[in-house]
Amino acid sequence: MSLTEAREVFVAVEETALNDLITAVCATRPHLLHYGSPAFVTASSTSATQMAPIPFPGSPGLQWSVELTIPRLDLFKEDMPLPPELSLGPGQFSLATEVRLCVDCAGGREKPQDDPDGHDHDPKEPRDPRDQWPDDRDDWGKARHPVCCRLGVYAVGHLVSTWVGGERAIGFALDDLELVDVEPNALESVLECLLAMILRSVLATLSLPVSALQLDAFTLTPTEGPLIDVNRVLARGDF
Amino acid sequence: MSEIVAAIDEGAAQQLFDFEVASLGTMATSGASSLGPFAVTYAVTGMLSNGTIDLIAPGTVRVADLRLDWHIDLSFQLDIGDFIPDIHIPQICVHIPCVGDVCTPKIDIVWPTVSVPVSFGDFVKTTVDLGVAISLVAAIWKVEGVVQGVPNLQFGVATAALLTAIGLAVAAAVGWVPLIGPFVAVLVAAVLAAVGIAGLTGLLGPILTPFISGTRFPITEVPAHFQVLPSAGPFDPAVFVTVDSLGAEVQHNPPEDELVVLADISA
Repeated sequence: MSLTEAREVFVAVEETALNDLITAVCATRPHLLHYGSPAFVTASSTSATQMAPIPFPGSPGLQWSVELTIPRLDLFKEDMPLPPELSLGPGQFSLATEVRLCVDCAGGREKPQDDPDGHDHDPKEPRDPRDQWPDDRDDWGKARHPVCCRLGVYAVGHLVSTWVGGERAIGFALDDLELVDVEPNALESVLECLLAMILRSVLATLSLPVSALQLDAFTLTPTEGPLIDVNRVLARGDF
Repeated sequence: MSEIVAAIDEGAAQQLFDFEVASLGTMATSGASSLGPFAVTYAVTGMLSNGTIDLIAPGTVRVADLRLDWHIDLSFQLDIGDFIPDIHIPQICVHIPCVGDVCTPKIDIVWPTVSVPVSFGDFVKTTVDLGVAISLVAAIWKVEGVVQGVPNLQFGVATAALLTAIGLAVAAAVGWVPLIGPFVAVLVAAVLAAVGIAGLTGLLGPILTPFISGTRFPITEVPAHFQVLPSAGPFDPAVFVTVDSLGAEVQHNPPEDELVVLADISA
């Protein structure tokens, strides 16, 4: 069977190369995987993307950050074990990553401290509300009481056709996501929904031009694919 | 197994070589050689146009009927005396009574050496087998077709007309020589006989062959530091991967023959 079949040009990218390409993008542009409000991300940069705190009445905003490790993709057929809730079908990829969720626990910062003058605080005196929800815009990048957790994330998805810089590209779309070892189930569901929304948004920013898939070795105008074959992405087209 | 496989069929290879051969442009060379008995200086230009591509596994790209259009400007020194004997007619005196001696003039004709410029163009066709060569030069992976062996040039029928052109050039070059008129036809015939077809091919073959055998036909180039994404703003620098290895081969994948490039990369 010919590689090109009825077409003129063929390209196939093994999943190791696809992971190399994704790793190159994420390592060069880590801000694609790291988002946070000012207490965690001083300013947008190559390393991280600064976003607004989560508005909440009575507070200057909840400080947060989300950071994902570089995802590893496994193309159908399944080589990377998945939680039983997920299955990898033809044309799909699975993805494994670890997400680190942080909040700046403002309530927890009020640990009793000795008064410098040696006086106890008079409980009858009204508290300054800013003590509970301090406006810490002067302290951007200084999360005072970061509370974080790490969660292992597994997902399956499929390729989508997209464009980058006026060029045909492949993108990644999420079909399903699963967290492991989170209880109770209701909490797991909430977190899965949250992380699915986050991961879907992250993947939307991640795309690879078709020219990169074949190192620009030949001119390729895809008429078939790119699609996931067995452990590789392939495309055929005209020269 | 290679991480990245890119392949084209024979039809695409034909398009590729059509483009690449046309991109080679005009080639030129000059030098000195011999045309039969004559020492010549020459300047030659040549331009290739592609033939028919045939991919032959495991590593041959055959180009049938590769055509080289060429043009030559050559010049040689023609010592006419080598072909027509110098004329020496001694003075003859006759004594005539009451008149005295009457003498004919002494005639010495020594034929000069003239410069003969010739300008001519034609084409040759040949079939060449290209091997696929990989090199890493200045951080660029190059895949090229390199001519195997020495091509056998098939000169066009019109190349024999170069003899006619030489004859006309000789006639024009000696036109100024006094008393040459009656001898021109003899001279031209003698020169052409001395050169002959063998003299032409003996001159043109070594000059034109390097235009083909010395040519490297580009197939593709891949930077070793390959740019995946261009820079897209202050926080989005260009993204690169390293091409660790590159290979190329012709594969027979029934029912087609395909030119295949194989690569391994790392982030």
